[in-house]
Amino acid sequence: MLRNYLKFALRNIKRNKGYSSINIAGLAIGMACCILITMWVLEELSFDRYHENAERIYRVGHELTIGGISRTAPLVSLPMAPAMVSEYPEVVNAVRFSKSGRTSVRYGDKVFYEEGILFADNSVFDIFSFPLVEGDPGKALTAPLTAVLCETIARKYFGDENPIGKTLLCNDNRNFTITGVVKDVPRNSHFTFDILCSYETLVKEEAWRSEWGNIVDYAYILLEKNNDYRALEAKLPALIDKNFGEQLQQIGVSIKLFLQPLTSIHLNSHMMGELAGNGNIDYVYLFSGIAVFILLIACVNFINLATARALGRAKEVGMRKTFGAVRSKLIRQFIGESILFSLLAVILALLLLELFLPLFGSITGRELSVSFWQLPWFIPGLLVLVLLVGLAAGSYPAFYLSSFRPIKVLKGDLKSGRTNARFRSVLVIFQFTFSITLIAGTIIVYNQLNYVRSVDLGFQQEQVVVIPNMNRFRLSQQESLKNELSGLAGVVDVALSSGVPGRGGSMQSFLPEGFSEDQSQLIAVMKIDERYLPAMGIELVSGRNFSKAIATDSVESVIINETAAAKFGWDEAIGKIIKQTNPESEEGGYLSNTVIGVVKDFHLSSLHEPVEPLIIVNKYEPFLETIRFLSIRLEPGNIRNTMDLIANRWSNFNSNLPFDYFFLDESFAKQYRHDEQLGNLVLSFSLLAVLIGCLGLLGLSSFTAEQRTREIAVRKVLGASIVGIVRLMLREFIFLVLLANVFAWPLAYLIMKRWLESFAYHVDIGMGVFVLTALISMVIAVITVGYQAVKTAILNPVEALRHE
Amino acid sequence: MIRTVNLKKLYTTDEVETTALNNVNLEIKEGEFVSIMGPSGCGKSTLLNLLGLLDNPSEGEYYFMDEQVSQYSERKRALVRKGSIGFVFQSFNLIDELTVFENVELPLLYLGVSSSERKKRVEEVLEQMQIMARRNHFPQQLSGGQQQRVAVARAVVARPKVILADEPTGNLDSKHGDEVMDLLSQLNEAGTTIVMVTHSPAYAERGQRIVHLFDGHVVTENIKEKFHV
Repeated sequence: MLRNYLKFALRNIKRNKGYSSINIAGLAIGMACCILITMWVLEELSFDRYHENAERIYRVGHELTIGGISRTAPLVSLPMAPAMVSEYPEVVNAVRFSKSGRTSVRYGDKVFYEEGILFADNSVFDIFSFPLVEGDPGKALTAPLTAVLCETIARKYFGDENPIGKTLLCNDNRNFTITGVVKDVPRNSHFTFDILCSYETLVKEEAWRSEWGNIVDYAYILLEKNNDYRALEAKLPALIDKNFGEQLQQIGVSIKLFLQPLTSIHLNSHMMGELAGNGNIDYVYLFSGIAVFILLIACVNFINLATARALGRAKEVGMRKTFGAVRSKLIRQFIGESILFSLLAVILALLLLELFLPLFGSITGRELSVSFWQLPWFIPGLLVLVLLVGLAAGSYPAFYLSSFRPIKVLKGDLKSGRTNARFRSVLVIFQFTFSITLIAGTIIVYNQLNYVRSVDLGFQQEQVVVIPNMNRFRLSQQESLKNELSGLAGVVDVALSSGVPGRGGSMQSFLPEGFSEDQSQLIAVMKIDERYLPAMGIELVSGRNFSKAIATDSVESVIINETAAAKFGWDEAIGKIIKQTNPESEEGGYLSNTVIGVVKDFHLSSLHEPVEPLIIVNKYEPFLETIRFLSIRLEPGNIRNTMDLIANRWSNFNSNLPFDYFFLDESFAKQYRHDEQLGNLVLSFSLLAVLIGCLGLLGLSSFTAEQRTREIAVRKVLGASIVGIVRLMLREFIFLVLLANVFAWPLAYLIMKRWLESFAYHVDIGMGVFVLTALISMVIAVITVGYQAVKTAILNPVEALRHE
Repeated sequence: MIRTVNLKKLYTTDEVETTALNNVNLEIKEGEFVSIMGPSGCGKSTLLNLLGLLDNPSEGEYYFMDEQVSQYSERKRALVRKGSIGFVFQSFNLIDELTVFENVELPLLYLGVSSSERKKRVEEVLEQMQIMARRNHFPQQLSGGQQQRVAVARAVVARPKVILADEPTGNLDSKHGDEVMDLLSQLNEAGTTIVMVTHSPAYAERGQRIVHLFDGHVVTENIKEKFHV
């Protein structure tokens, strides 16, 4: 019996090639999307779970409150983690990490800049599962100036040589001896590294870190089995109190430590200073939803086409019943057929995946594991998918088709029922509602991206090249490089600063005039030279810029931005005093700064963040802020030439370090990389959803045309024009698409409003978006249905009527 | 074998009630060959559908093999149908996607006959209908007469007690029509009860009895003695 059904179904597929290919293609695209998204979601959910101790590892972070404003960061100071191990027996072990910035690494004549350098305690190998290929995990990182390399990096520097015992020169000032090679860090880790240097190096060489208040490092602790981290968390305030509570109280700051389970960091932690950009649980939900809906759209196609084609199978059903088939047998047969369709579709889907996986990788900026065949759940997962889709798509048609009564079939008294047509309309509306929501979403995402690219940032970001890592040079060296470069042809201006828009920046506590001593404010601070504001085109609203001629400027003058002035409640800011705790003074004394100017607000970070109050200082030594960037404004045109000149000067200036630079606008735009990827993904999936929906519409319109051939012939005989007929055929579909628009608009509005709210500055969702969406969807529908409509309309009516 | 008592069938569509059959009393004995005649729309096909358990009467009783079946559910009717009643239609109603062999095999499939037994019986009946050579053809590749022979083969393969034929020659030319009638006569001689609706008086004559229907009523029952030579 089964073999008979199978044979019959295959023959049916072959006989109705158009219908079958539309169905299989639609299901396949839907399934491919679904598999792709599922794999992505599973990868997102798998982050950091490969560590044997994953469930027992917690990251320690802190919340700092000052002047009523709280900030959280995943950072602690050097003594905190060891203190936790010694204070609390449930804390079994701890590891500290410190992130090293872009670092030049030299071996012999090979020199590269490396971004992935972490300092770590040796306990990293006990707590995390980073297996060493070479070296002793018990002591690889116990001594200062030792380092462990990832396999890839070891090959990069040492080729086939054994790296153990060799040394790498970092930033021209530290020689690290290689004590081990570790397997490359799996991609599904919330932090990765290429080189691990011993944390002992920092302990020995950077004494300032041992202060409880210098919160600049990362720490992970390992808890005993079955321990409630919440209970531990509740004990942590005592630890802070005991060790530097008094100090904090003096300056009106409170610090609270908290713990984050390792496995929840990737999707749920989005603090300033994360070790790497994390994922977003919202996107996991969003794309899971998209996967389900795209699959549903594909199933709806199947349902629609199967019921539309039902008449074609009525005779078969009638005969089977006449000769003794009961309904359940027919239901089984039809569901079997749809499962067969689903099976063929999944095979096609896998082919599509193989073809398009690299494309998906380039869109998301992340390659997915192509080796999904090796996953133990993959084959069973596919079978479940086949069954689910087969049932979802096949159930309704099976019940519908098997309900035909032989007597009706014999009488030829089967009309495509009105209820059925209405049901199909509802399904088409459902499909298009979803597709149109995606189209509207795409338009809004791109509108916003366009906006963030074109909005006035308050500074001119074009034609600015930035040389980082200036902090490794002395002040006099910085000045001489600056002077040398300003003389070059094609260079407009050169300026030094501690941060540049999109990168860096730190916060300090200040006491502006009019605030009482317990109201100190945590405010972003930036150090610049007198050329920075003009070089960047940042406008002064009032007052003046720093000047070399005025000696006090480098000691006690500050410039603030408009937001700061507004926050401090100052109508006239010039001459106001901003106090700052003097780190030199034991008694909590203050240094006074005088406001000499106010600049127009400019965006230091992406438009996700509102412009924050900012205090700009000149070269003011007591500040921790150091000059890190040299910004060069270039004349437009012939930039390549100027860059060659600059590179040339660089090699004269320092031949040991390769010339390293970035363009300010590109670097600033990188902050929107995730948003752009989201845009591309939504665009891709909306294209696919539209494609599947159109396949269905194409099939449906051709069946409608088939059914209406006679009606249209009669109309033509009675004098209807071709245009009139085409309009008639298009009308009902256009109506459905319009209706779908009405449902889709509020949906898109609500979803996209939420996304836009992640930007402090965003476009408004205007009517224009929806009008455009309606137009696009209409054009798509007209093109899809139009072909069939025209084909039917130009048919010679005699042809159609002769068969009657 | 077949007995109806005051059989009545009403069709209701949008407020219009049509009486297709009214008080039909009919008795057909095992082994009989009964022809049903009458003008278009007199209810011939409706009667055949009721007799074939494809539909339920609105009123009255229907005894099929001494069982009152007039209010059976679709499921129960299907169970009675398979194996007991074979159908032949004017428009053949073969399934286009199935070969000759598979079309004929269909009733046996639903009777749960084993594969080897099915093969034997289908080949037997194809042989008998002289279309063995066409066993792997699809219906569209056959002439009308051949198609109707396949349909007859399908009707008899399950060895039913009764064959209901609804204008079996209506779509055939006289040569093929004669062939099909010969087949039906042969089956009847071999003991199968046959009820046939026809417009052709000549073919109706092949039956032992002709029932005339008019506007849903049986108007005459023309019983004749018929002897086969």
